[in-house]
Amino acid sequence: MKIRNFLLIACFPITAVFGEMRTYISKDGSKTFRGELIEYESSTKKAKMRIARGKVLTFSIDVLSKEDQKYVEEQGPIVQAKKSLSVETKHYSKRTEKNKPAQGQWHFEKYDHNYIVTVENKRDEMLKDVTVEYIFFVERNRREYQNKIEKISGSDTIDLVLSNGTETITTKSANLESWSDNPVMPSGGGGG
Amino acid sequence: MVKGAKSKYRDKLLGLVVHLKVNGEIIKTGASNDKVLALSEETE
Repeated sequence: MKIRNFLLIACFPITAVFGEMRTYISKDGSKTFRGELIEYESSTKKAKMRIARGKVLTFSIDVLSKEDQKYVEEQGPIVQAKKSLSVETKHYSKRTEKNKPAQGQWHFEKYDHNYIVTVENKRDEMLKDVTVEYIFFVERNRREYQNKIEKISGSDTIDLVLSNGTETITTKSANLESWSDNPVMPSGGGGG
Repeated sequence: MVKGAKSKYRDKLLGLVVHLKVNGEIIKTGASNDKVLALSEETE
């Protein structure tokens, strides 16, 4: 049986989820301000925030309340990931089966489809524990399935994405079929 | 497809949705098309 490979590149845009504007409280509780965390450097404990009228400040998180310090330390890796990660997908298709129908049988072909998802870290710092969740859908069109939509989903966690590096995951495969509408008929004569 | 055979029943790949998560939070979402994004939201 001949097996053919196809590669279809399907790159699609990614929608970024933006940072949250929230109220921060000073260490002694005497002052508050509204700010959006833009960047946090855990080694120096320095946060960069956008405050009122778009002004950007960089300061040590020691000036914030304990609760806000905890929030910044938790959100820092998320903010960093939002800015530095990008994703690209490639779609692969491979024919796995093709029959040679005898009289009275139907033609069919079967293909395995899957995707390779590439995650790129564009910053000079590595990122840990990046989870890739994926879902893809197949419409089953044989008469007995009546256009039923099948969902294929999964997830994979990348332990480490090195600075300025890429990592890939491979999704599960879906098997797609195509069938001719009529069986092979005798070309002439009575057959049998 | 087999030469001369008409493809009557062909399964269709509708597309892919990808979420990137860090610390359990979705940081980026991408989809091959709007239809598949809507489908994923319906099934979640």
